Amino acid sequence: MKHRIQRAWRALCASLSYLNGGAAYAHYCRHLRTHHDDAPPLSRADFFRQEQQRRWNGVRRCC
Amino acid sequence: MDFKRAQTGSSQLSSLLWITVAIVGAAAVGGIALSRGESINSLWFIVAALCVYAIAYRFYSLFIASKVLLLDPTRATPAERFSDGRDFVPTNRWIVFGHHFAAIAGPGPLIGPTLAAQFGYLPGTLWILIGGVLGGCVQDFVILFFSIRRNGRSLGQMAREELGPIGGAAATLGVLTIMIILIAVLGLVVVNAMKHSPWATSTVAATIPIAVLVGVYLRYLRPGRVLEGSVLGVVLLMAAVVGGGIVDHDPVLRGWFDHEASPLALMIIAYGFCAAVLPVWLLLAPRDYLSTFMKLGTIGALAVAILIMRPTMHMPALTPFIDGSGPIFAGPLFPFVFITIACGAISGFHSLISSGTTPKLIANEADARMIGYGGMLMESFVAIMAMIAACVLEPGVYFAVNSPAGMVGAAPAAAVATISGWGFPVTVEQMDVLAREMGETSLFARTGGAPSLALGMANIFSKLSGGGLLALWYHFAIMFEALFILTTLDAGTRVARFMLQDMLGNFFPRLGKTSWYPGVILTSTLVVAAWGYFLYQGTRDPLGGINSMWPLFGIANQMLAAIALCVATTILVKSRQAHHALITGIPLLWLVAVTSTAAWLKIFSPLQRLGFLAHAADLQTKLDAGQLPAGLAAQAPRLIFNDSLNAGLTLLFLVIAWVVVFETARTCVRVLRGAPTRPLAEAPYVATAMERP
Repeated sequence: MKHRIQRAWRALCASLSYLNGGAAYAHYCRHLRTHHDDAPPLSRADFFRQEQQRRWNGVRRCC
Repeated sequence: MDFKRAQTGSSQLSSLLWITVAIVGAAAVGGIALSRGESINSLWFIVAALCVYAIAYRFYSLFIASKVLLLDPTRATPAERFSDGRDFVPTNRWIVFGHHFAAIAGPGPLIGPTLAAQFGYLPGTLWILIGGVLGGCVQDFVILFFSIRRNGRSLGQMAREELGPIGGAAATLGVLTIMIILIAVLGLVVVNAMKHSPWATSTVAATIPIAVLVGVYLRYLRPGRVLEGSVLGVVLLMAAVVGGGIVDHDPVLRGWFDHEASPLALMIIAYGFCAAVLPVWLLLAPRDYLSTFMKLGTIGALAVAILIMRPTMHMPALTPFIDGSGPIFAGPLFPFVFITIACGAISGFHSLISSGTTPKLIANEADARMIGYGGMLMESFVAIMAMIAACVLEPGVYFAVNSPAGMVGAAPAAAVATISGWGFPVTVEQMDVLAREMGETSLFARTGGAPSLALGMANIFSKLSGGGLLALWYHFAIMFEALFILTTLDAGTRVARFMLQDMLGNFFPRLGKTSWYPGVILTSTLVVAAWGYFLYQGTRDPLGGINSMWPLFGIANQMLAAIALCVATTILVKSRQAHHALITGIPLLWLVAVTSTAAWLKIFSPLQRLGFLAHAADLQTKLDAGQLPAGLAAQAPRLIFNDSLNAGLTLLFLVIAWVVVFETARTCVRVLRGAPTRPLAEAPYVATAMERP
């Protein structure tokens, strides 16, 4: 039971962080590992910085 | 043999289930439509909505998916083909659903139904259901699908590719103008909720430093830990609501946050300018993280609260105002209920999201049905909840809160006399008690829909918490609405700035560079000045501004939806689906009829309450004859100019919509005749290599 609650809690946190773009860095690292073996990944802070700037260059929210 | 029998059995069971859903749904819709009693329980609305949605999703969206669009689960999506770990990321469909819903759900579906309750609950509710399942959901779904088939192209790009440069330019211009009007009207909604309310103003003001704090946290203290930052921010927001109450009770602090509407509008304008030129990490992005959480959380909580409390609705099914004499906005039931509901049933703006971030995340084409069609069903349900929250109020109270002073009289005694005279009894004492309970000095003439929605929400939530804490719930609801209105304001200003830079960049290449600071300042100033003008004038309008601006916004929004449906219809005709083009063609014809009638009435109606030009002419005549009181005479030239400006803008919307409709008709006729046209811009088939989870 305790195990199950723990798992559900972790899944909830993971989905919430997905929704806010928090999981983007993990994605980026995974992508880099599978597609471009040679390129060194950006650090989490650098990635986040670049990403935030870039993401806000389009329509993101509605009325 | 056994297997076959079991299968037939389960299909019989499923038929039985769907027949039951249909009967229950029909009974609930019938119950709502035919009820003429004093009050009706909100459970009817929830049941009717859920049954309608279930049937529409199960049958109509399946028909569109399998017979019209021919979704192909074996085809690789742009997310897979261009996977770059950033924009294009194959993502779990529930996560995409959450993203998509958070992006499309804004203040529109909350405010529209609240204002449309002026006609009674019935017209608005029916349009939210019918317009949603046959119009809005279809638009979101087909645009999402076509964008997936076109490498995630935007609506403007698709319009250019399928309709030609004229259609494309009209679509882009349409998006820019709707953005300006949208921001102005939403700004006005926040201003009307904050005027002379130290509690609301201080709470909304506190959201700015909280967002900055979260921004600094995410950039320097714990870079990229978005979840932590958001949770911290949400806790601080709750504290700000409580803190606002303390400010309200302190005689000195109170004075700092007690303002008229016009100065508040200037503050919003200054804020909008800062948000547009400051780096995004400082204000824009963190505010958006917070608003996503608040939005999903509060909407979910409201749904649960309505289900548990099942509040009784007091608004009649129809009010006498269906003839066009209503105080909140002018104009008869047709076409203005459709214009006013706007986002809750069909929102043109959604087509920008459906052809923006969402198509780049979808892992499998088959997911488009759930995300496009299903996402809009959720939004439609939000609109139903807003309708319930508005109708939970006594109609007298509802009209006292939402009617501008210019319509019912500025003095409380005059206002209640006018409103009671309409057959919706309300007293000054009743309004005073209510205002005191909510921690406000007055609730008269708080136009814009946000305060009356907050009253309804406070009503429902406080019953859940045993009847107390009304003031806290009221200001929580105001903060929640202001939070995502200001997010739309920031994001909209920025997008409009980029579009303007893009346009001007064609003539002055330097202005198109987003890194050239003087260009950024200049274009931001132009955008903010444009919506700022409408916002400021709205606060000084004797009729409260919402009266003329919400219809303008509705017309613009529905016009954008018409453009999106034009693009979709053209694509369907081109892909040899002309016999199915009615699924977008019928909503398109309806929207063209609605927007054209509304625009025509707003410009040329001889009634001075409704037509911009008639109002201007009436003022001019009275001004020339010296019949206006001194105060109004000084304002008259400005009001006349604004009327002409609004009329001109409405005319622009009308022309843009008709240009696109004409281009669509021309292209479709050429296709049907077999004449050469631009070919379909669909990307070639690539088989997916991904396992379907």
